[in-house]
Amino acid sequence: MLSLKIALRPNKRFVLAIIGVAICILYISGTTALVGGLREGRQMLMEENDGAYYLCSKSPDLSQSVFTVEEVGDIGWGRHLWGVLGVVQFCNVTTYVAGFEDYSGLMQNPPVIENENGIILGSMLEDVWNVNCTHLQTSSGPKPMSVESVLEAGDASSQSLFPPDWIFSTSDYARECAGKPAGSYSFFITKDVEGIDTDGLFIQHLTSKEEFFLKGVEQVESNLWLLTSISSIIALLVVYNIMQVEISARKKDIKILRGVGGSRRWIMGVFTFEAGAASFLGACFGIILGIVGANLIISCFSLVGYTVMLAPSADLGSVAVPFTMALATGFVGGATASFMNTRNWMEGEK
Amino acid sequence: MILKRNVAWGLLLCFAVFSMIVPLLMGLMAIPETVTGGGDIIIITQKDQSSPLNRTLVENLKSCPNVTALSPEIIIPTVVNGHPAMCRGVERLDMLELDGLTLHGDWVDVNTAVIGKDLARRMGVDVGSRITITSPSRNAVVSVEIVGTYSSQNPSDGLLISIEYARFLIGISPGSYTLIRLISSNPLDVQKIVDDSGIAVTNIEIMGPSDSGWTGNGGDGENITSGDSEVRITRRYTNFFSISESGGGFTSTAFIYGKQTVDAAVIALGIMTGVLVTVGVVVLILRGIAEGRKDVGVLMAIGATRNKLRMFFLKDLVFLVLLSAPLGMAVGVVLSYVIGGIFPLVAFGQTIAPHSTLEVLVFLASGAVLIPLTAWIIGGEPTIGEEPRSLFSPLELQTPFTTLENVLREEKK
Repeated sequence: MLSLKIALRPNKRFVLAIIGVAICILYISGTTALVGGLREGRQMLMEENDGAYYLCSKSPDLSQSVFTVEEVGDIGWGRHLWGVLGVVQFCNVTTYVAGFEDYSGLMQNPPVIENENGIILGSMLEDVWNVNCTHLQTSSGPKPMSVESVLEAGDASSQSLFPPDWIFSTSDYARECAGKPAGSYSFFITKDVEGIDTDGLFIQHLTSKEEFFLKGVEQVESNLWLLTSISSIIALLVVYNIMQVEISARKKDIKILRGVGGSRRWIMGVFTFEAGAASFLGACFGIILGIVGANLIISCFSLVGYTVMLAPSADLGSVAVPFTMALATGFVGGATASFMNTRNWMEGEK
Repeated sequence: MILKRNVAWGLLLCFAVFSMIVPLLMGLMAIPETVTGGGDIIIITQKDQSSPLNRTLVENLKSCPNVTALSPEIIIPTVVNGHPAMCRGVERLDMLELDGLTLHGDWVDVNTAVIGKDLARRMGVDVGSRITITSPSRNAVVSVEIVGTYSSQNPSDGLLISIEYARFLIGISPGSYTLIRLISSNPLDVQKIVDDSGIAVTNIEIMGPSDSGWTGNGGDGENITSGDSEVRITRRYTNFFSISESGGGFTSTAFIYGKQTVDAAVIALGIMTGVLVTVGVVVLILRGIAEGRKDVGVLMAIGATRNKLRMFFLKDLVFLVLLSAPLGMAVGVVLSYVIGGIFPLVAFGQTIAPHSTLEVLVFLASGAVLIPLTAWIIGGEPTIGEEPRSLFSPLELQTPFTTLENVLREEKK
């Protein structure tokens, strides 16, 4: 009881220590809530982005990607556009040959390929097409071809999913050109990734602006975490110093307690408890003020016409982390200071 | 000295943290400028899809004697290998000339690309790699082989593709562009050529420090003044992402809101850091003042006037600030570059360069003066306004004067 009375004796310095800790923890809690709020905003946007098409492959380089339908899970056939891609030389121009089972997903009024060696040229290849050129150069040697049609510029640029300098063929022909095994594919396009074994699968949004934004915000978030962490170290150093100053200022009390027979361990316990109590109270006030302050600042932005998609909220990061950090730092600061001061007293006695 | 010198270390730390965080946060907010090159480059963007920038306008601008370099482009925000990247459809030679890039490798075919060295390092790709680029605004995909890299004085974060592929990706007709960047000694000539082109809705924007006092056509008939940079940057973002949209729609709105959200988070973090540093400095100076209370009491007891004490305090304060602030600021600014080097800070695919402009340095210096002054007003003035008796503890007042001297000597030890 006596130790509690000594430790929690109301005095100006104790209150100032609580205020000091509260301000430091306010910073840690407030900034953590802000950056956490940014993550919430990003997740909201991700939900908005549902419904986009996905391009799935085994590698970012589609021409190197090889897999079978079974490898990516039981996802059904009809809902997806399966393609095979290979690099070829067409009339001395390096380009890609893309093979599909079904062209209806690619363009309106898709052309029909009648021969097994038949190909459709993208509009940009018409200019380089030499009628004497009868073979595609592939990695496994020349492959006979017959140009059946050329896509209209309008089709290629505004309807097709693929660029106007590609060659289109059947999937078997593309596999032979690319040297890929029968039944394999290079990529598939789907609207629904549910049921797909995404392990080892490289998935990109076919329309990437939302993804660009989401990834961009994710990078901003990482930067802010880094800056917040660095500043938080400073805030914790301030908390540590506050405790050092607070306990050092009680030097006279320590001497009196030692003088009346208080053991060093007991005195250290009393003052460490005092530092812990100040840190606890400071952390409580700091966390509340931090979250309220962060919300207040964001509300001010709304008042001046900003549309801000972040809501700083109390979560594990903005409550438990600063609380634990404050308490640990306060205890360590208090224990160190009381250890030093009781030790000095002993040395002085000698 | 009434204020103890050890306070200077704490002040140095606070100023260093502040001077490190502020340039990095400012660099984060300046990302839109870095996309288009910054400096004295004039930007002309289309307002919407109904009035694309065309080859005739480009040729007219090129023939203008005051235009020294010009690059018609299409900017495509996309995600490559999981990394956000600003992909740029360019007329190869024009772009290289305007930005003074050093190209390593040959770049001829339409289905090839050149990548900035910094972006290549982040993405883990090199010459010979093939990457897939998807459209920002419609369902479209291209595959390109990286045939070269480029480097520049600024961070090299771009992915350069052929203008033909860029047009395909965003679905605009041959001969069209979405952005013209140029350097001209006379922006008004550029304005006249754009007006004469009959392209009704075009924004002209001038970046960089040399835009002061210039006024241009905002595209909707309103004038844009050089000081309105936030509006212009936001609008440019809108333009980039509403190219294939009818009437804007969700996407452009999302981008505007997104930029405002990021700005709000950055500014809020800046404010809180400012508060933390202010409190830190104020607490340190108050601690110094509290430690010197007895000295003040003694000085008052031996007849020092309040004005004299004020001078003592202010001299100490100026000495401490002059000792810690310039060094702290220098350390902080250097640290911001060191941190940028150790942990490359990237946002929206662009490397964040610490923004240590003159304005930022003036802001930091103002803080270094104003914050200690605030501390003085809070702690210093009330202290010299107190009665000498109140500056000692009851214990000290009970001791004879000689003992008091001993107490002070011991304290000083």
